[in-house]
Amino acid sequence: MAATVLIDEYNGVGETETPNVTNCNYGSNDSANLVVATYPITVGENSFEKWWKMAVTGTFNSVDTLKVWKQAGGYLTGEGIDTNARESSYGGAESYVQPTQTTSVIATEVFPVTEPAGANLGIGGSLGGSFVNDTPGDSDYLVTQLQSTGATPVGDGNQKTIRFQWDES
Amino acid sequence: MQGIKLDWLAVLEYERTIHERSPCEEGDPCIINFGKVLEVEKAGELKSFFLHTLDHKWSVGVHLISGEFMMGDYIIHPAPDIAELNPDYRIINVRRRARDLSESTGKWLGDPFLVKYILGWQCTINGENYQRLMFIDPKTLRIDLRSKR
Repeated sequence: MAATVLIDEYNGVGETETPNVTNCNYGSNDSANLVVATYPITVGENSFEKWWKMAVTGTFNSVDTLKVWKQAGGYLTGEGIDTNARESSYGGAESYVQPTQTTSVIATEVFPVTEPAGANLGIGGSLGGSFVNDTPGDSDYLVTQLQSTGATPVGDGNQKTIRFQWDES
Repeated sequence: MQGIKLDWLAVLEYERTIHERSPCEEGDPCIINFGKVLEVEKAGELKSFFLHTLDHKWSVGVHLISGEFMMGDYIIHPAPDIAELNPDYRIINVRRRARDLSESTGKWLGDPFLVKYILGWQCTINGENYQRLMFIDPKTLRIDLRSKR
């Protein structure tokens, strides 16, 4: 008995879903499964926002306490990732808007670089939400954006690892 | 459905003293159906739940009649004042799992893995919720104890 957790991405004005994305590359285009070389991010600019959901299926009694953070890897000078995920003052589930490349007004929290003490991504609009009794579902939107400044050097970023964690019983 | 693979054996003890072990063929990783734990508890039969390392050299468990925790050779009662009230202990049996994504390549770095095993009990006394938990690192066998209320 185990839950299966995948990442679905949403793009475009029509909230087009790409289930179980094969990559989560940030880039200068609002689409899933980007090829970075085709859509590089210009120094001093942002990536398009990424609108993701953790999609839960499988067999379980409950899945809850969703946490997302940067587990490893350093930023280049002036580089950073912002997110809407937060442990406090959670504003409920975000309503979809077409991803933007301008500085996000939704992803305004610095992406955690250590494991949050509690859930920082909600289910059903609440950090205390849960999936129960094998019923599949999606988390709230996880919105992130890679940002750079004029000081960010040209070239590939450092290898970074994002961890998605959950509790299941 | 196939259960999660762990480097552990799970042993469930019922009121009828039936001991159920995770199915395991010699030499193969053991597959545990954790759903069985809550099914048995719902039937009011679960007395204790143990996890054993595959070499049987170490185990950790919780006893739902006495509220005791067992870690290797040590028995700990985490709440003797609560025990006096003889509450109805309910098992907490959670696997904390994770999956890592490479931001650089955009691809998953391997399959989901077990971060910690959380084992303990919960009871309600005079409308108040009490929990005592063991957070078990499956690789180092380090145990952190935590309590609520």
